[in-house]
Amino acid sequence: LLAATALLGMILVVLSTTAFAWWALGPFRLQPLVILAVAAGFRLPLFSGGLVVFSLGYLSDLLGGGIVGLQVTALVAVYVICALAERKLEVNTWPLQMLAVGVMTPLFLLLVLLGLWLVYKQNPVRPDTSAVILAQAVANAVCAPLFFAALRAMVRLIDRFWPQKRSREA
Amino acid sequence: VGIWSRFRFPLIVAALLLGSLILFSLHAGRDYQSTIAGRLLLEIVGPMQGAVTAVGEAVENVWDTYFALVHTAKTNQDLKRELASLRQDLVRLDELDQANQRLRSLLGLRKELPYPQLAAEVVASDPSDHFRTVIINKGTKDGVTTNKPVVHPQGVVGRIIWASPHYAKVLLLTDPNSGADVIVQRSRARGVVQGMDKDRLRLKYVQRAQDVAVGDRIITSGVAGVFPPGILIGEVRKVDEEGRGIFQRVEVAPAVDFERLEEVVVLLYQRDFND
Repeated sequence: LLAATALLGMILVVLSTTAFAWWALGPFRLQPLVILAVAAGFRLPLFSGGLVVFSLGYLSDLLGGGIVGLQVTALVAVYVICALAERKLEVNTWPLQMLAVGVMTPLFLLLVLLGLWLVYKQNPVRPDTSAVILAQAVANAVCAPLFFAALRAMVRLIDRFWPQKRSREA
Repeated sequence: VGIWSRFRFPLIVAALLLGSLILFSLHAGRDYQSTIAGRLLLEIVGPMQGAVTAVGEAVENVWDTYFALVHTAKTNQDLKRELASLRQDLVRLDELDQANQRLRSLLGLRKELPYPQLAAEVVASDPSDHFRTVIINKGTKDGVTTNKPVVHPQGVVGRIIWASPHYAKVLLLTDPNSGADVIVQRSRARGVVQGMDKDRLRLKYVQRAQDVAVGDRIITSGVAGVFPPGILIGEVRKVDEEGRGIFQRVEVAPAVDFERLEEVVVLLYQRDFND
């Protein structure tokens, strides 16, 4: 699952700069890495999952034009909150995880905006409206099952290529 | 060992958050730095982005030419098939014609600007809406280095902020971190243009006594060193003389349509400050 999350994350980072950027409607665009961070928070071991989320945020920051560390911080915060929630709550079904994506997406966007505000106080970046943030949260939550399914498919694919690992787990 | 097993969870959480905050604070408010990791990543991811872009264009082409005709009535199938084929040819010819026009305008630009030039294709754009960068398929092996100006037949596009051997990242003029020393072509008033959002620029440091009017063309001054003089930046869209302070608030519409950027030209220009 860890390798699948890392591999799918890499693919999503590449798609974020190409396919998802083409389909974006102005500031409204899918945030697949947030979905992946939520999935990782509920399913992966804390340390190794944290490293994967940290690395994916770093990749995304390097490929984008933003401040390196901005998306890392926001994604790690989302991941940590989900990992904390996983200890206290039973969030193991897709609908509940979709709900978590819906809650975490605005938090991620607000953390990014807070970071931008802290850096560019003199020349503030135009903030997203609450309607846009809400719409992104709903879209992310609705699309989350697609990415959960993609993650599951990636796990199966990796299992097929490394059957030894599967037999050991069995 | 006892403390570690007891406080493992909060310690890992603290380490992750602290690590990311340290990374953020190290880079916040600083100029873009071309790191080895970044250049290496661009080299690895660049071909993937190029491949996805190529597949996307192919799918778009198929979508436009084939799937639009899927619901053809059976009685007219042969006729429709022929029509589809002709339309496909037409779209391809239209695409070739558009590419031809774009390349002709790039060729025109080559004649207009007396600097060595390098045509490049845009292979990817920024994943976020807050920053405006694109990745082009030319890098240090082609002579592209940091701070080289990037232009388009319509005007200034931006400057190179990173370059790996085969790819480079361009900071667009509309990015809030972008800036260019400019003059108003009609009145020769000086100022600095800075990105606001995807289709707006802000002209800063123009004193109230200076003459700026809506419709004035803004061109590069050539003073700051990155851009050669006389390249079009955009046109003044709004002048606000009512505000306080010694400077006017001027809004500029960029000449380049950044939403439709496909090919650009990198000027292999470096200002010699001894001149």
